[in-house]
Amino acid sequence: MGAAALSIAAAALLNAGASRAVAPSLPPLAGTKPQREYAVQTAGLAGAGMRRLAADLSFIQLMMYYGSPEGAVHAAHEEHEGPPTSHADTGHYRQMYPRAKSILELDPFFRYAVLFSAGALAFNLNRPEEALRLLEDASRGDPAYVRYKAYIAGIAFHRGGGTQETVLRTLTPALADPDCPVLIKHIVAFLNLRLGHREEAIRLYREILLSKDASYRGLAMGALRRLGAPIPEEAK
Amino acid sequence: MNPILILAAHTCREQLRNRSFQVAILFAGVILYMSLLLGALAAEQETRVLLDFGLGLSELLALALAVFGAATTVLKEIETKTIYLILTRPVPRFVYLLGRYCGLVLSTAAGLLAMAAVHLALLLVKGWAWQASYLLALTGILLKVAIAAALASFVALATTSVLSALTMIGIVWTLGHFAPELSFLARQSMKGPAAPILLAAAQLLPNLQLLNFRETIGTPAAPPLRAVLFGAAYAAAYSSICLALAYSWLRRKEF
Repeated sequence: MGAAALSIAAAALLNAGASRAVAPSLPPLAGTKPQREYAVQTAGLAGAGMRRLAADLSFIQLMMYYGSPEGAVHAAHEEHEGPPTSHADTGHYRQMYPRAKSILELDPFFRYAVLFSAGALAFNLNRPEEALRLLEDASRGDPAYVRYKAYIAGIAFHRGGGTQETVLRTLTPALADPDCPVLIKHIVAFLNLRLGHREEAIRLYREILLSKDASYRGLAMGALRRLGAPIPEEAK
Repeated sequence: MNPILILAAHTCREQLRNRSFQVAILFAGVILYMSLLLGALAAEQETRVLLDFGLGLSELLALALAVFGAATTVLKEIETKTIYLILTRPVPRFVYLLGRYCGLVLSTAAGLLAMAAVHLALLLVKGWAWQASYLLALTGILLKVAIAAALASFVALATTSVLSALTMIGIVWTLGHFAPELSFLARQSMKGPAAPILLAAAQLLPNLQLLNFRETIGTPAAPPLRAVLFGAAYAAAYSSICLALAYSWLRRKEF
């Protein structure tokens, strides 16, 4: 009995010391709201100490959601939850922001997922407010990553009706980053093309051809064909 | 030669020759290879997904090997009476326990290294740029598994049931990863009826999140050296407490 009491006291002391000496590396999940569809998956993986993997799987599911025709997505969603009840529930890929937010809560350092979602929200889905909210949240959790600021500026210019040159100038430095999503490269290539920078657009489309995202590879291939630019051998 | 080393080497050899150990490692290799399919779904983030999945799988398999080994080794020897062969020699019971435990941790480390070799090969083929924090992640896994194995040794001896030990470790493993959340919830419900339970759980269960270096690989939140050393000391101290408890049960056992 004495040994057990002593051990319990030692364990309590040890844990008290540990919680004072070392701050948790990730913010606690308590108080966050995981996506209802993936709550079990998220809780199971987080319980096994695999928040990063939970974020990865949620990101794969986000890409599948964004890559599916929206009619099919809505039909499947309504089957579970009924028809939309408010204006906010309707629109293009309305789950994009909440999904991206829950990925960010799982892994505050998953930069690619944040940049991908923010790019899609701001430039493809025309919801720059949500993109900015996501980027600002991400920037608070990962202040060392200055690229978020460039994206925030680029999206703010885009929202405020800024010229395409300004948006292009703000986004271009982000292309050098290894975490730069192919979606952003595609947007920058498109802007270059619209502004008459044909060679730069071709260079970027060729770079996209080497990415692992088949849908963007297809888009880049189409763009290069339209431009009459030769397609590199390794991409064929 | 030191009896702890002899027992550790013997246990390690025994584990490595164990058919189920070998099958588990082979299984890990096959699953790691199959994870390429999952990685392909992640497009540009393929290597990140492969990295996280591979480390997670290796950790779970190492945990299964260590906990099953810890829960069965001593109990089986008690049941088959082969423990007499050791304890009738001048080998104190704590030396026996410690030797068995060290052997188990060693064999788990060997298994983990084998899985890491397959995993690294896949990652490098897929173009992953080597990061030294991978070794840190493996260290964190081993430290967590060492705590779980020590706890399993104690629970198995106290309950004399392998199933109870496995179930208990499953629960502790989950709650141990929710240590920051438990503390947070305990603070939130300071006056509620659940507060004492949450507080006790937060105070007594091992804080596995402290050793979860795998989760911050390549990020600005990667632990500094001080935190790693502290984590190693924490794991050693917590395992010692569990082994001391296991010894207090083994000492009282009549064979």
